[in-house]
Amino acid sequence: MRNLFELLYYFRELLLMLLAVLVSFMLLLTGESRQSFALQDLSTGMIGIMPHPDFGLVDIISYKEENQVLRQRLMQYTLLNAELADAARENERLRDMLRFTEETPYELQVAEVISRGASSVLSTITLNVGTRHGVEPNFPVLALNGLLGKTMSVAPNASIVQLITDRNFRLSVKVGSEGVRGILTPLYGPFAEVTGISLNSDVRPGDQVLTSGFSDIYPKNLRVALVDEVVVTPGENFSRVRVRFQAEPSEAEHVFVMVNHGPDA
Amino acid sequence: MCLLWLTMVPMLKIIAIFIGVILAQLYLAQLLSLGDIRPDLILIFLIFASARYGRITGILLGFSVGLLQDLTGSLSVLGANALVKSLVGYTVGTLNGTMTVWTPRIVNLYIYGTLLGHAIIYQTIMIQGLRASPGLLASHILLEFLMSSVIVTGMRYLIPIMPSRA
Repeated sequence: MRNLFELLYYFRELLLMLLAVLVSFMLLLTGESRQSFALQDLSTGMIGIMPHPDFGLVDIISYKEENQVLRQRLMQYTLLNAELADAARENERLRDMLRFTEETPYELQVAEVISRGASSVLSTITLNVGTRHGVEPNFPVLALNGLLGKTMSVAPNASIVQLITDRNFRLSVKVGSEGVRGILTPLYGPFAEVTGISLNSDVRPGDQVLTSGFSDIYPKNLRVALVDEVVVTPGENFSRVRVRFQAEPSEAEHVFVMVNHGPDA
Repeated sequence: MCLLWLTMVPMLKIIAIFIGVILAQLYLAQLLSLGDIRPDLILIFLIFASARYGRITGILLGFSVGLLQDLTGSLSVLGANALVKSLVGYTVGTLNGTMTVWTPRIVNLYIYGTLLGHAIIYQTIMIQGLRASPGLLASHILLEFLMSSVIVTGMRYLIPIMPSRA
């Protein structure tokens, strides 16, 4: 017995390392369990309490560029707004004719990105809003250009967003003018693949990829990506559509959380 | 009481540095990013701490900081950082008992080899399940390795990785 203890003590470092490796593998295999989410909620709460620095100089430089882009956008949106106002009037008239009930407008909560996680590879962002601001898990998060992800772990003053680029992210989308339905699966970096698009569908590079609305989380017609490439493999019934995300997670400074969007809202 | 305080001072120092490094990784690392890759300041801290305090501290610290990193990210790869950081803690912790035996050149090779190993294992885990080309994986490994190497080299001019032999 004493020899066994001596042996264990002699190899204590190796045994500790093997234990750490074993636990890590177990975590990798269990992944998104309830306990993991509970642990993550705890760490999100801690990040929410921590003070985060305000990079004044960096902000001034980036705000100047952002200001120019926003001015251009404002002009574009002013022109677009005139067209939309006309379309809205027509739409209202048609809705009345068809006795459609008016849809509940979306309520957006502006949030600041306070962190991009502690890993060397970007997979989440942390926002400065939480349950105190009406945010709950599984709320869609948008950037100016399009869908960015959904809230995953929410603390009173902070929330972690699962980005659209995350490997476990799946989204029902519609592609192109025909609105062909498919499932979006992220690839590495800013690219994703839409599967389930039949060969005779009219999908071309540059086509818009929008949310289909077949989800309790995401309302329909949110901008997601643009078609980058359509690959047809001989012998297959479906084409592989490679798309590029419109929102850029590494550059987003301020985002919007849709806090009133579901069928119950 | 005084003795207790004296023994606690180094521990408090490590904890203070640890909190500082975590904050820097959370809020500053993005400013130093190249493409999709950001410098892993926690890895640098772990290398210095493991070399100074040995394997056991290295493994425990590596696992803890790795798990913390994983929890701030997407849970789809929970355990990836804990795994590689534990291995790094064990590997670099070996330096603690070899400083009188190994030459500086071997120590350098050992540290940069560990950084390369970390980059290879971590990026390979991160790419699992995603359809990425081997070229992209290689570029990410190289980028992470170069970033870590540059920071470690710079830091070693400021802080010796191990106490002097004298």
